[in-house]
Amino acid sequence: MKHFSLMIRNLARKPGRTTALILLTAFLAMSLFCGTIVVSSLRRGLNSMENRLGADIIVVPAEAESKVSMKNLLLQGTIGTFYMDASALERVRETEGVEKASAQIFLSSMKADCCSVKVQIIGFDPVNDFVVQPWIAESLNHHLGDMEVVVGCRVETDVGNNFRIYDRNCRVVAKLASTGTGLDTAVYCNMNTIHILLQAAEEKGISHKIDSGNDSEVVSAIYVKVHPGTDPGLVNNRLNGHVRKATAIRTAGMMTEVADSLSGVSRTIAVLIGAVWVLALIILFIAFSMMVNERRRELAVYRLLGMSRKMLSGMIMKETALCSFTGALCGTALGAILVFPFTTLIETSLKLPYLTSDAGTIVLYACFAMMITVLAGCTAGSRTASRLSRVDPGTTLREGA
Amino acid sequence: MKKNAFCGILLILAAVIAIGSVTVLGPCVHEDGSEAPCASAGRAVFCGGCVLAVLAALILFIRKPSVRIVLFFITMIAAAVGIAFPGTFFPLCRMDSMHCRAVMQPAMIILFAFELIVSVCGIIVERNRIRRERA
Repeated sequence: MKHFSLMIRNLARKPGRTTALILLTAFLAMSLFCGTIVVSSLRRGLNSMENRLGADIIVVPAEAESKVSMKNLLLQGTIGTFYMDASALERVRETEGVEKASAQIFLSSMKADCCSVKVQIIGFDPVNDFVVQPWIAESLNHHLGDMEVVVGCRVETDVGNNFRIYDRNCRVVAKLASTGTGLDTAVYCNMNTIHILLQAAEEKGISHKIDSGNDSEVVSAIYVKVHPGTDPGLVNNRLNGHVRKATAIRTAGMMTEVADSLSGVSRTIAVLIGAVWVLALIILFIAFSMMVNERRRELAVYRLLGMSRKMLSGMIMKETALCSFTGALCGTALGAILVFPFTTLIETSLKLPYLTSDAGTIVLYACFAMMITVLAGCTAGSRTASRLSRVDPGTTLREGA
Repeated sequence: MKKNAFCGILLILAAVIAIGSVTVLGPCVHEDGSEAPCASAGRAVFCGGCVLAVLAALILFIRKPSVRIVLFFITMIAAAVGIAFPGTFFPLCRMDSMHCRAVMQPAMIILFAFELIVSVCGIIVERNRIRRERA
């Protein structure tokens, strides 16, 4: 305890030096913690997207690709309202190699209905669906009824509330878990509800007419699962040839595109963290080297008072460890303040799926960042400690006199 | 100089709140010029920032420790109320991805929380000063 109080007094006596050391180590810990959290959240987002996207191929109207990027539709929840004749679903099902096919209808809400922005409303068939239903089943234990909706986790409403879309009241029956993609801002309903909403939109002057076919029989996208062992590329080509005025897109291609963007971002973050660490470590080494000259006389007095070299070196190391630990703690806390409240901002800025890890993993990352920072601080201080402990008290004090 | 450090920080934070609420940390802006549901929250945060700035300026000029403590206490209460401005007392847009929810709310909660912590530190420092003067 006596030793500890001496250490604290030593640190408090030079507030400028102590603050500088704490700030440097805080900067190291913050960069490591923030970088690890962002990269791990991006990886988790990609995994979640892969799990949620149960289809091998998506068939959309031919003009859809020019209207909206399918990747953006999934990642950022970009509003996509495009329609094709519902007969395309039968044609898809007839295609060789198709195991399951399920249609979805997209509609966007009006701005004033619920929010300051439009919301993507997705109608699906709960009986045949294999894309949304398994995911909805996690939050809802019965089939979605008429005028009932399930909302993504980022739509600010609660279960049991009414959600007004085109002057029609829909009851919110479940809220989905976070996916880290744009689908978190979507509203899901069954086919009967979406047809009522399409009709309501029509009454409001928002048309979903298609060039041919019955207006009430439209679909926006058909999700396809191919037979196990069948080449999805082959089925994709067959669908492109078999279904008129539609384009089949392989989801694997979209995933590769996202994975490429993700590895690019991860690389950039790793380089930035590396640069910050190299710079900060250099500054730490310089700071400790300067400390050797500054504290030479002070430590010579300790030696004269009877402290052994080992005790002296231990005291310096403990001071360094205490500064590093305080810095690491402050840095990690600051990193948490900067990263967690602004998760949505980071996600929208990166335009990639972003799903924050659970609390246990975050604590683990924080401990890891703090441990590495304290280790780096101690490594930088160890050379100084060994040099200072070898100080000859007689010579040093004579030099200073 | 040292005794004014806390009110200096309070003044800077209040200025960031007030200026931020009408610039980068403000509510959502509709392209068509119509008012977003979060506009009232933005106005409330701006007023909160101004009130905090006035309080910090008063602390800066008043020398009597007991009055300073009262002002720090009022600042603390005002900051605590300010935390609840966006989202609790005043509505925000209903989508998490909106600017008011993604930027304004977290930024203002952090800034008001810092104001609260600094004012608590101010109260402690002033109380110690009074105790030292009495001793």
